[in-house]
Parts: sequence; structure tokens; C-alpha cells
Amino acid sequence: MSRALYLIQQAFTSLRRNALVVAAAILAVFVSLTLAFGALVVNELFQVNTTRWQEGVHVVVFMKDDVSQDAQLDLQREIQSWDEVDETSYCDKTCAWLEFKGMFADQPALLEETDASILPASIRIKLTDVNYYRDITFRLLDNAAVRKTVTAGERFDQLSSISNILNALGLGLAILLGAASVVLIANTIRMAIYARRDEVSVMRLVGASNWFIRIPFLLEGMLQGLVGAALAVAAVWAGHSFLAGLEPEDFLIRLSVGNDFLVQWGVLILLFGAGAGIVGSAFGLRRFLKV
Amino acid sequence: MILLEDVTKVYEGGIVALRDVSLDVQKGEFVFLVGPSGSGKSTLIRLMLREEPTTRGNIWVAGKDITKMPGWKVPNLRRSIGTVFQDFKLLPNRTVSENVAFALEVLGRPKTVISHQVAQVLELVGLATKGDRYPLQLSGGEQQRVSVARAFVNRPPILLADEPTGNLDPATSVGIMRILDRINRTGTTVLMATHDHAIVDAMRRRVVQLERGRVVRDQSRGRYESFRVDDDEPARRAAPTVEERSPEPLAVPEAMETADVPEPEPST
Repeated sequence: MSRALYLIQQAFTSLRRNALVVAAAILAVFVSLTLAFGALVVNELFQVNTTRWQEGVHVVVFMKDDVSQDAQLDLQREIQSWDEVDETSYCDKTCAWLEFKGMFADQPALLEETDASILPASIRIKLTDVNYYRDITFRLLDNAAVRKTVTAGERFDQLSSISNILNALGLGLAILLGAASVVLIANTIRMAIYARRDEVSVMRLVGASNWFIRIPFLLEGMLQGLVGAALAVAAVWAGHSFLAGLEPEDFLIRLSVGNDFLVQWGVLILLFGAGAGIVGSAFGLRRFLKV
Repeated sequence: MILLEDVTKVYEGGIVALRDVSLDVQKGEFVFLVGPSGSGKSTLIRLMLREEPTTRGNIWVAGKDITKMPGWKVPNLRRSIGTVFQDFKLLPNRTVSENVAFALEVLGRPKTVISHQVAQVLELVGLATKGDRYPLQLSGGEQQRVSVARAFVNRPPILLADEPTGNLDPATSVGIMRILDRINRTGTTVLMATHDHAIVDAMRRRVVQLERGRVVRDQSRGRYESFRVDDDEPARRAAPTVEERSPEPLAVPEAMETADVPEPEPST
């Protein structure tokens, strides 16, 4: 027990004594993990936004006026029974008129000139997956009750391909920066150990076992990684809060990701920092501990 | 205590540092290892500490063949050997007491025992009042005394010293030698590599002379030089003579019979 305390004490003493190199190591961890975590958050922002844009009504089926409302409702039930369909809603002529009035409330002249009866009833379809829009449109093409099918399909396609590219870029960047941070941490800690190679050689000289020498360094590396990672998490969190504060209500683009995402990834980043610190010191020590 | 059997050490590139060296050092002996630079003195010490593997032969330290010792047992070996070097090898960011205590902390001794033993050994080397100083605040001689204190604090049965007076002036060297002598009289086996003619000649202990990696002389109560007049290749001198280093004669008992050392030119 006293030995464990001694080793921990050693780690802290040497952190204090080598403040400058320790600061450099922490800074290296901080910068690289901030960038990696930042890239992850930006990536998540893209995802949040593209899924949001993909939500809502995907296909609108306008009905012919000469089809009875019962037939129209039958068609809605049929569509609802399709596997690709998540939700449907029916909007009759009155509903269409109300929507029209809402949309053009600022143009009373237009409203006055428009005959409410020409607005068609419609079925609004929300799909389980946006990509099914072609199948649905195809199936409804020859339906006698249908006047026209409207989808935002092509725009969905464009959006998905953009979001796929952005996802790949964001993830790639995060992985690259994560790897860079491990190398950077390993290198900085190695430098720190190199600066103290005399101490290590004296330790060996007086008969310290390899683990006795190693443990304080590993603890040090872990603490440096942890502190750097904690600073990175704090920085990204602060940056995110700032960004989220800028986000106006009912704004088209969302500037905040969920807290769950931040907490989950924050914990992972902390673990990653600590792990990278340990791995970094283990690598750094290896060549100085050859008996 | 220390037994070398036909020890050969060849470094990378085929440089032979030691060639079939055999040596038997009894418990409690004081042995000087002399010879010019590059004769293999330091290599011998490094091999005894298992800092390097031997190429051939066996080295027995305290009854154990260290050439066959697994790596994880080497720290134990080193705990039984105190070491003193020319460059002191002190940790500059630790005080004198902390430097000495370090050797005991490594062994996991309790704090109370450590502080007691450190105080005792600092008393022995005459630094009782300087425990709180840092190495750089001390003179070279004092630093070497700290290093001796660290080597001896856990009372190892063996003490190896590689040119412990190499960086010190003659008067200071005498002080260090007195401490090493006292340590030897407690029963510790001392093996000291040196260039210092004056000290070897003054102490008159066993002298093992190395040349080009071979033992060329092993003499009890020897001097630095062998005076083998008829030898084809007389022992050369690698260090400056005492006269060159210090104009004043040293105040050591039976010291400095250096006037009769022949051919005082230092070799290169």
C-alpha cells in the first residue's frame, strides 16, 4: 500500500518538476483531441441537419375531382398498408383551401380570385425510407383516381449524396486526427522521458525493477492524456454551447447536437486520451528499460 | 565474492574489450583495477552490473552466475552492488538526502527507516549538515561523497567504483578514498577502477592491471606501476602524474612515494 502511494507520489512530483514538458504534452493532447472531437461534432451536425431535412412528407398524391371521397379514402388505406409507407394523411378540398389560405394570407387579391373548388384533395405520404419514393410514384402512376404525384425525390437524392460525402469526410478527419494525437502524445512523452533518461539510468543503477520505474511514467502519461482530453472536451463543449446559443428558433439549419452525443463521445475522448497517454509512455520507455 | 572465469567481451564491429579475463575477488577485499584508457576496466565493471551481456565466460557475483541470470532478476543483483562513478550520477532536482534516500525507496523501505539510514550514512561521509542542499550547490568532492553515500546506504556486500576520483583534485580524492577505505573495513568488498597513481601507490592494496583487455598483473599490496624493467612492453601511463596535477604533496599517510615512478610522460 505504502509502495503504491509512493509510486503515485512519484508521478505527481515528477509532473510538478517537469512542468514545461508536461505542459507541452498536455497541449499536444488538447489540440489534437479538440480537433478530432470537433470534427466528430461537425459531422454529427451534418447528420442531424440532413435527417431533419429528410423528415416530413415525402410524397403528395393529388386526387382527381371526379373520384368520390370514399374511393379516395380507400386508396389512402391501401397506400397505408404498403410496407414502405410509414404514415399517411388525407387532406380534402376544405383542408386544401385552408392550407392555401394560410400560405397566401399576405396576398388577399390572389385568394379572392381563386376558386376553392379547383384545389384538389390529396394524400400525404411519409415513407419509412426516403429512397422508396420511386417505387411509390411508379405504383401510383396508372391509378385512375390519381391526378398527379409530387415528390421531392431528386432533391432527396442530392441531399443524401452530399451528406454521405460529408459523413465520410468528417469521420475520416476525426480518425486521422485521433491517430495523429496518439503519435503526438507518444512523441511528446518520449521527449519527456528522454529529458529524464539520467534519472531512469540512476533508477536502474540502484536496482529499481522495470515496473517500479515504469509505473510512475505510465501514471504520468495517463494523467497528461486525461487532462489534455478533459480540456479538449471542455473546449468542444464550450464551442458547441456557443454555437447552439446562436441558433435562432425555427431556423432552417440546426447548430446543436444532442447532449447524449456530447456525453457519450466526451467520455470516449477522455478514455482515449488516458489510453493514448499510457500507450505513449509505454512506447517512450521501451528503449530506456532494456536491462 | 566476485569470480570471473575466462570472460571475453566483444563489442559490435569486432572490437575486443576483454579477452579471457579470470579474476577471483574474496569477500572484504579492496582491489584496484588499473590500466590505460581503453584497457577494459569500465567494461569489466559494466559486465559485473549486467549492463551488458558477456560474449564468453562466466561471472559469479555472491554465488550466482550473472551471465545466466534472467532479466527480471537483474535489479536484485544491482541492489547488492553499490556503484560510484566519475560523473557522480546524481539527480540534480533532488536534494542530497533525497538522492541518497532514492536507493532505499527503490527497495520499498518504510519512510522512518529511510530517514534514519540516510542520516547515518550522511554522517559517515561528512555531509550531515548538507542534506537539504542540491547537488549543484556542492563541490565536486562533496557530490562524490553523496554518490558514495547513496552506493553504501543499503549496506551492499559489494561496491564498484569506476574512476571515482577522476574529476577531483588530489586532496579531495584523498577524502573520498578515506571513505571508501572505511566502507571496506566494514566488510564490504570494494573494486575500484582508477588512473590515479598517487592513490594506488598510497593505499598499497591488491592491484589488477589490465592492458588491451587482458589481465597483465595481479599483485597484492601493489603499486600503480609494475616496474618490470625487463618487460618488452612496460605498463604505460594514461593519467597525468600526481606532480603534474598537484604541486603540493598530499597529506595522506604513507602517501606519495611518487618520486620514484619512472618515465613520467603521459601516453596518449
